[in-house]
Amino acid sequence: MRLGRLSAFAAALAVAACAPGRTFAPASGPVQEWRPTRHTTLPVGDAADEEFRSTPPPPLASVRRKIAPPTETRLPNGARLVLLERHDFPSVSAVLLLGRGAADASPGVALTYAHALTGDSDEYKAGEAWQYLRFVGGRVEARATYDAVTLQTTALSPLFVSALSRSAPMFATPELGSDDVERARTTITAQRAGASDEPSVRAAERLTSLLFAGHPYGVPVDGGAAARGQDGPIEKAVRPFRDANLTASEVTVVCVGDFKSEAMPRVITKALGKLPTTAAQPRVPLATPQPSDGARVVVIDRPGAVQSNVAIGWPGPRAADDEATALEVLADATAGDLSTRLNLQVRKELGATYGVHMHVHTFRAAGYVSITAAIDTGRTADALAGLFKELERLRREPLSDEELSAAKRRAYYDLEEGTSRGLASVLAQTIGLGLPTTHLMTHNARVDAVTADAIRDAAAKRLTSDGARMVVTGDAAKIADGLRSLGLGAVTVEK
Amino acid sequence: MLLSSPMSQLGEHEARACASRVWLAALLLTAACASAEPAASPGAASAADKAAPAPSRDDAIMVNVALVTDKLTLPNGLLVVLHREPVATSAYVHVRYHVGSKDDPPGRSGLAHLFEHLMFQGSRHTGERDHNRWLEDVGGSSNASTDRDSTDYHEEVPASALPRALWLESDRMAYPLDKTTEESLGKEREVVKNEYRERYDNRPYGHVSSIARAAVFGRAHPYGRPTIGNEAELDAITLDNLRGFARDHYRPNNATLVVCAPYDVKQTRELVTKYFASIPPGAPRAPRTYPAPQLASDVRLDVEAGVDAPMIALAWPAPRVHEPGLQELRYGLRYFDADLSHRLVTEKKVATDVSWYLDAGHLGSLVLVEVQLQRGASTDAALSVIDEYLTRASRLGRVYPWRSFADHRTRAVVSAVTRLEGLEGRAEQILHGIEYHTERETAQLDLRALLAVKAADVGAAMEQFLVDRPRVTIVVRPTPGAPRAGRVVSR
Repeated sequence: MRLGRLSAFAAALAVAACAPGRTFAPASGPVQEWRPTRHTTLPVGDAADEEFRSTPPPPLASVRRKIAPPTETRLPNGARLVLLERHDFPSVSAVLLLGRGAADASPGVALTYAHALTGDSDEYKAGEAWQYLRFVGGRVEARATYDAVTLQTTALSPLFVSALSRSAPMFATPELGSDDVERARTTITAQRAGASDEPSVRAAERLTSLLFAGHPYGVPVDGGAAARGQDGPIEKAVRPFRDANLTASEVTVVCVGDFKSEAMPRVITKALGKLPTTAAQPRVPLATPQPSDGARVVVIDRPGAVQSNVAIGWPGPRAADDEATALEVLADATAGDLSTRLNLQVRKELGATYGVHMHVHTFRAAGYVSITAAIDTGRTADALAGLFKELERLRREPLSDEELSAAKRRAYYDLEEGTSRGLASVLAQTIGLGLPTTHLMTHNARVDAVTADAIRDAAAKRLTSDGARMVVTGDAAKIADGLRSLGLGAVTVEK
Repeated sequence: MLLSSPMSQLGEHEARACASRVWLAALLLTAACASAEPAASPGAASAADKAAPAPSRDDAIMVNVALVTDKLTLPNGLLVVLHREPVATSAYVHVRYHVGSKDDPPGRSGLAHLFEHLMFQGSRHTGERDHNRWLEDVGGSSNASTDRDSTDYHEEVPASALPRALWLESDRMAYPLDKTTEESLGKEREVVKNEYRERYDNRPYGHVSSIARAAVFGRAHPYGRPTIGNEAELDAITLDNLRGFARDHYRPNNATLVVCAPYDVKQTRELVTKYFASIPPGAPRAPRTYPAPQLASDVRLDVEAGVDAPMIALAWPAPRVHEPGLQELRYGLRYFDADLSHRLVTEKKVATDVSWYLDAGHLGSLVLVEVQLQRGASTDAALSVIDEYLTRASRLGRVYPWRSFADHRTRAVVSAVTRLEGLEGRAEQILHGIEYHTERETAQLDLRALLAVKAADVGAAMEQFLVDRPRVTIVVRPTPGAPRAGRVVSR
């Protein structure tokens, strides 16, 4: 009884110490919808056919803004610093990039390393660092690609240095303690479990395994279900990955936004003060990938599926190859928007899909071209037959001038627009692929140089029926016969 | 004390130009902090030497933002908001029609969304080309979206093509559906059905959110139906239905136009007036009233789905936009999500994902929490942890202190400011102000509302709106042979 009273007293004290909070009046009674109430002086009616509407208006004077190209320098510790100054908005984004990625390590290690970076460092405990980052409104994102690991920090410019003071040590001196590695492992494994059931993800991942058989590019960056299913090997490899690769000469810092370039080298030098400067292990060159010579068309069976998630792919060029630009323009002409060939064919004419997408994926050592779509089950074969017919036409006939011009406009990249965070990310991707920083600045000129003949030649060389691999997640009983009739090869059904 | 203004880093000419765009006037920390750490700006010469530590955690943050606009209402009732961004090289045009799936006629759910698709087929003066094609020809892009309350069309074009974007938007406002035939309607209906399949019907757990929505609002409430509709009701929509819908809703006095461009406001205003001012208005429509969504008692729904792992979804009605408690609920849900995720995903490893969303509308709002469990995990055990953590969240700042609350609040404010970096974010903020702040400029109002939230009120909102209120509990069980998207098997 006494104890109970004491507890009650303590509880009363505790409650008294904190505010009880407001009581919010619950909504009750009828609620009126919102409609604008605007005074009108024109009479209600239908629009007359006004002459001035019959032709499109001429353009206004063009608005261009001269953007200084990114500047590049080396910090005293040997790290590379790339700066792009813009003063549109008071924000700064910095990407700290380590030029080693998933293709340079065992499956799943690079992504686990990237996630674990956001834990303890030599300078700060993770909890302390994150609390401070929240206070200054800093956004920190860790990523891994096949070719790089990055930690990106974005903040309003007056608070950027403060945010970087807590995020840079994560990158420069990560402790990678067992708690942080375990947290990373759990997060990635959970995401993998969630993604594995998505029909489009299943198709896309199986496609890359066919295009890059036995090659690192054929394994998802997270290591895939097989690697994530085992406890131990990935986690044990995380620290060795750091020890073998993390050194200033392999690090590039990309900063974009509202800062003064002359101040930045000192800011970054201080932030990365403890970055190791040991000699880097040489990067092991990747073998040239080869597509699987076994299965060419795979159906991942999903009985009852109302759509077929289709992924078609062909081996493609490396990021640095000139051919990549021609293929990018080709992709923009073929399925870059709603008015492009495949969307006009499969979406607008047949109504068989919500959209067809074509992408050129480029890495340091290889690449691939993909077409993806979710197609009505009953019309899968018809839609694919139409799609391959369009590809045949691309191999045979050059694009019309109008199509080529429209595709080029889609392919242009505009450095004048975009957020600091977005631009920093794009610049870092370019650098991660081993391309020079001028690559983005010269992108539009390369696009302009692409001819209709070059596109036809690229299609004839790459997008062949023989070279295609196709994966479809769908109802095998309903679609397999139709897929066989396309003549791409034997159809293998998998569970 | 003023810590830093970005304008101090610009030349005189640029600084003057800033006066008419998003104006981040001051990022204000407390005086003590600012005087101790002038180096927090990387633009300052001494930045490198005094980089860290910068502000102390006890300091308050205040950001002043002004989103400068010029408004006019045309004789036909179209409200036009112009925002000049002198350094932009593109123009952004956004037309919002104040009509959404809440206005779908009975038995025709999905009509507002199908209508949005049809608006891309071209209008009276676009010739053989459709709307997209005219924009793609000049390197522009466009998109649209439909929700319960509104339908939005927006395009980003090189600035010089602003007249073309306005010409196109005005043509479809004046002559909607002029190019639509029975045949083109039939094809677009199939596209929408495929969108429905891709986003919902063919996805694991794809129907769970629709089931939750229907249970919280009731099928009779206009928010109880999915915006995309269903295949049977899409099939029932006729061209006459669509033309009637256009007559009723696609009128200038039921729309708002936002233009963000580098040109001076006078020039933009002349263009807008030329293309939009003569489009006749529609007959005014009296607003309808609906009962406030209420759940009288707890609802439990068992759902079977052809998936590998179970899932739990919890749903509640919530305050409408800008009703007291909504902002607090957002903070509380963010905390609850992180706390529960840490427990179930990281520590216990029984879940793969915890997510939430708060869908706020004019007629009511919906809170949906989804917990994706690992294969074989117990749904009962997970439910009891979820309830325990909901209770914990309701005690925030009340039974025990929430020391890091100010940090969470700062992060929310900075995120809100950062969303104004692009023209699209600014147009959305402007439109938000039109609907929810009786047409005033609101960026600063919204930031103040974020900053005004108190820790104890967050816990109170969680208790009042979630812990103490009836809810919908959906338990999804993996069932071989069942649709992957899920179907209700018992109530």
